[in-house]
Amino acid sequence: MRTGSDRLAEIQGIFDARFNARLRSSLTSAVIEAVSERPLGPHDDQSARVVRALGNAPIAGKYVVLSLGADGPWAIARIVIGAEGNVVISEGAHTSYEEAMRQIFLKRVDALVSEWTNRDSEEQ
Amino acid sequence: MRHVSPHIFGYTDRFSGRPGETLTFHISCEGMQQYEASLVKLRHGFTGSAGPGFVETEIASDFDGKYEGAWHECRPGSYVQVDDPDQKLAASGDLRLRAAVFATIAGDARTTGLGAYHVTQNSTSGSGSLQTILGKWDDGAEAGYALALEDGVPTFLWNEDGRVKRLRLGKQLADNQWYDLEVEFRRDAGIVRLSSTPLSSLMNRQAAHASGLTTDWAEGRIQEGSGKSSAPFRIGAAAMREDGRWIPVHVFNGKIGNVHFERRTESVAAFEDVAAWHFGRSARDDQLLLDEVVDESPNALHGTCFNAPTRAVTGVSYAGLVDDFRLVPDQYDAIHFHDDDIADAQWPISFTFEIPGDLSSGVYAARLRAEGVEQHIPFFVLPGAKRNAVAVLFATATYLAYGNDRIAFEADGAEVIVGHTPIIDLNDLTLQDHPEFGRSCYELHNDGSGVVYGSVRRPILTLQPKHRAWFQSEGVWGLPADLCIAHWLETEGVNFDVITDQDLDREGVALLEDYVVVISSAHPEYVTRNEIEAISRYTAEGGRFMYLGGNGFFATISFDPEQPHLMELRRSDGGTRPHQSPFGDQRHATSGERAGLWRNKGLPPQRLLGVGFVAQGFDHGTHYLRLQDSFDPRVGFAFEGIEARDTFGDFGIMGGGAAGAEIDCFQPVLGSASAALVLATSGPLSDAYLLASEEVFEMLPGLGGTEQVSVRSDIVLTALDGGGAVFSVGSIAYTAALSHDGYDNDIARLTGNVLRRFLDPVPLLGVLTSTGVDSIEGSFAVDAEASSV
Repeated sequence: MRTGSDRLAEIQGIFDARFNARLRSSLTSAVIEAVSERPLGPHDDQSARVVRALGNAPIAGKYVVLSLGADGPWAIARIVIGAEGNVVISEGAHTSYEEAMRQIFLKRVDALVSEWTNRDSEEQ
Repeated sequence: MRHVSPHIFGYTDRFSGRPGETLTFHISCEGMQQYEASLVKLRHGFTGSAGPGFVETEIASDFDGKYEGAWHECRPGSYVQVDDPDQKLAASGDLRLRAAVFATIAGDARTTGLGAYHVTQNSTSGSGSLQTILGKWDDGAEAGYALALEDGVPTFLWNEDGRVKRLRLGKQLADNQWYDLEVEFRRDAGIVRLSSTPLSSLMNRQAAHASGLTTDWAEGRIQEGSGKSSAPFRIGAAAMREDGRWIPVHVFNGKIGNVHFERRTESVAAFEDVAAWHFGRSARDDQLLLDEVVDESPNALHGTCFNAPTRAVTGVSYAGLVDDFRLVPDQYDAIHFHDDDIADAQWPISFTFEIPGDLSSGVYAARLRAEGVEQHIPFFVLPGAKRNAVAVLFATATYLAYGNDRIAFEADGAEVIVGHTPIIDLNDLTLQDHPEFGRSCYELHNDGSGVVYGSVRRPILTLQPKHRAWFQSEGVWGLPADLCIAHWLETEGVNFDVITDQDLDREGVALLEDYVVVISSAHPEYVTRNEIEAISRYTAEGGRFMYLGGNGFFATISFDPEQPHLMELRRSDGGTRPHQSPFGDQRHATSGERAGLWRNKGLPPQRLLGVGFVAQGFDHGTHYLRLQDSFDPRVGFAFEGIEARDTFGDFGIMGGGAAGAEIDCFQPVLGSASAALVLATSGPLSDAYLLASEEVFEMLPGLGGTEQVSVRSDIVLTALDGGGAVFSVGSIAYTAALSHDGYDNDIARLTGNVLRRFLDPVPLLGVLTSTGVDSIEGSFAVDAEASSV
């Protein structure tokens, strides 16, 4: 039987399509360059919109920065409930947390672009 | 999945004590047999090279030495237990059990809102498929009886002929809907009957005529003599024997009320109450609802709450007209239980510490070490008879509010609210492997309701002196931030006493009377009414208060008068808040105090401090800009040795600037004294700093720091009639800048200058008059009456 959750999911899908279309137009090479240069910001309005969109993703599987010592280094980890510490830690570490943030941003952009490319292929 | 690696955990029975008093320490070891305990004085916490590093001093004590380690389980889950020495609640004869039930997670997923941070994932495990409403169920022996929800379906289970028998209804209960559940035994006929009837209530999620809910019932066979158990009678949980105690298992999530245990005897045809618990009724003169549960039957089978279930919550008959449980107790006949409530781990005492008479007041810890593992159990030693001139008020209430914060692992919005990718540390991972240590008051319970209690008596990993908060780069927060103040005072050569929120709440202004200067913590967000009144009276009577933080004196907390290790923090429906208590549940059971922001209750911090919370952001801090008042000769003392004529404070451990994180500004409209001097204001802040929601009456575009003049931190000095004065910096990041460049910096100089002047008993106004500067237009002194609360 169709429930309230099903009805909300339908509406969420419609919104997501609009949101992603806007995000796709906002995610320019200039934005990627600007955020890469200053991952902690401050960001111009267009970059801030992209950073918010990526940062608002569901927490399951999301990237975070993991501090490994008093002055670093900093690793990249993903939130995975059930793993030790509820994170899966990527290999390697970075000498600054800003560098780790930069890498996380670029990973998110890559994942998003791949998703869009796959979707385009499926639609063709 | 549970991951165990070598660790030591522990807690004290309370945060603070005076010489001659004894603290108890409760220690659990994982993966090790022995540990060494030492007394240390904590002097600085932050470990990074941007500050002085971690500094502690060993002090010989009676508890120093090696101890055998033992592992103790921490068992969350709240419930009511009823002592029944005469076995009046045994399953014999003709019985009827009745309860009104409001399940909050009958199914396998919560259906409530997501809170301010959009919590979409749960990092702590719940009760599983069985949730116990009431009964005497021994889960280890699988014996006794219980009314429960099994996969959300009302179920009566009992043991008979060595087997567990079940009587189940056909339908799962709807979440957030009151039902009457009833079990009736007719032993002569060998029948047990179970029914559920939806009840009409204002507090149901859906209107009765829209819910489509119907009555459900079932009958089964039961033998006389079945359902026996030695387990205690509990409401909200079953019991299991472990480690010499009955631990809670299969804990209920949701509200239970109107609980009756009735019996019919041969001499009386109708059922009569054996017990009739009234959860809205208090045995206390003040009508507060603490841990005692009243039985209104002649048998007086009173119960006791364990692990702090939420009382003073609306029952099935709530009318919606009065929100004070003390005035309409019948409408508050309900208790909200949670399977992740934890108020006391109940670990045995590992060692005790009688505070010696010659131990100076300070921040101390029992340092526990074993095989490369280290843990500190911090506590605060108040002064004995001899006091220093300066006291620091450590924000232990705020430490409890943030205690064991897990938001970065559960909330979609964790990243956007802090404006950058969260930076977690290894201590956070340890906490994740120990969900049983409970949650912070910023989180949602497993059922989606907000956490409203914080307790000292459980391991609090965020209280570690080296801990860093995930929401700020180099995030010194809580105790580590306040140790920045302690170390700065040490560097200044100023001896000081420590006091805590619990102490000030308990003793009021009498605790402050001997001090010339009282200094706040970096983040005294949560305070009681008694504390505000104490600081107000103290400054009105000539005391000098240095508010070296941000977001201070912001929201209401209460301490349980009978269990002061327990703090209550409900959330009201206005202003900055991580979640919100339901309508009717926004009053503290432990004080009767309405929850919420003090500014919404007639006591804005601006009135007390000259500044009040206005914005938060965690990307970058910034510097301060000197304002016209800073050049006023009346405050020349403050800027002695400071060469900067324009900006200062563009440094600091937190975010690289003294102004940042959570910030306060000067607001005469909310009570900042108009004659107060505004010495400096913050430099530019990004749009990651957003105007606080209590400042936004209707939504308007452009609430960030680049578009809102109110998004700023102001440094304000208010002199009061009677010689008192308040110096406020309005920034959590401020004290993390004190140590920059070996304390040789303008933030340290400004703060030290003010401290030394405040220690001079000569009233600030008197100095001005004697030097003839009183000809400056306007009065520097503010009427103490006008600024007191």
